[in-house]
Amino acid sequence: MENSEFKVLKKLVGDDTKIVLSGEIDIYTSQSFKSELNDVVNASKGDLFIDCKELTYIDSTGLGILVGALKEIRKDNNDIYICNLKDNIKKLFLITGLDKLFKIEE
Amino acid sequence: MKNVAFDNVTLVLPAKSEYVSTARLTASSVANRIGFNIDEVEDIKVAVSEVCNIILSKMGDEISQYKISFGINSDNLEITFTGEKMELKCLGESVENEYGLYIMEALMDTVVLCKNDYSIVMTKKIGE
Repeated sequence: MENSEFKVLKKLVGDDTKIVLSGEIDIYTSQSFKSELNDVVNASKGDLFIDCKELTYIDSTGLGILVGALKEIRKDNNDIYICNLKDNIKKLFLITGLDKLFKIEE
Repeated sequence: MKNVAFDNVTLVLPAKSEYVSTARLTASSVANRIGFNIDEVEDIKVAVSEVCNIILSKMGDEISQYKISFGINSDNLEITFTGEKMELKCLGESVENEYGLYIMEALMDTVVLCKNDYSIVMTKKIGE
C-alpha cells in the first residue's frame, strides 16, 4: 500500500530549486504544503521545478496553493515546471485549465 | 452489482479536515464494490473530497458532524451530503471555490449544490 503521508523534499540546483512532492495534498495537509512552498518561493532566485512522481492525490485546495506560488515566482520573471504527474492528477490540471498556466513536462 | 443494488452506505464524519481522507477511502470502496472502473472510482473519490472541502470551508465552524450517504440505484450511484443534527446551509451561489466546482462538475454526471435547501447531491451513472 502506498504511503499517503505528505512530504516535501527540497534541493537547490544553482539558482533553481527542485522539490519532490509525495503523498496526498488535501484540505488537511494543504497548510503544511503552503508553508513549505512559501519558504521555497521566498528563498528561490530562479525557476522552481516540482517533481510529482510520488504525489498520489491533490485537491482544489492544493491546486490553489500552486497558483498562488506561481503568481509570486512570476514577479521575478521565473516559472514553475511540473513533471511526472500521474494520470489522475494530470486530469485535474486539464479540467481546471491549469495545464496552460504551468509548464508541464512529461 | 446484483447483490448490492438498492443498498445504502452512510458515513457520519466530524466536521474536521482530518477526516476528509476517510470520506475518500469510503467513496473508493463503495464505488469499487458497485463495479465502477479504476478511473471512475478515482473520479468519485475526487468529487466527494471536493464536496467535503466546500462543507468544511463554508460550515466547518457551525456544524460538528455531517453525513455522506451513498445510495446505490439500478443505474447510478447517488451521493448525498447533509448536516448531522443541524442542516447544511444552502451553498448554491456562495461557492467561490471555482477549481473545486469545475472538478466536481467535470467528473460527475450531475451535481446539485442546494437540493431541497439543505443537501448537496451528486450522481454518476453505472456502466457507461
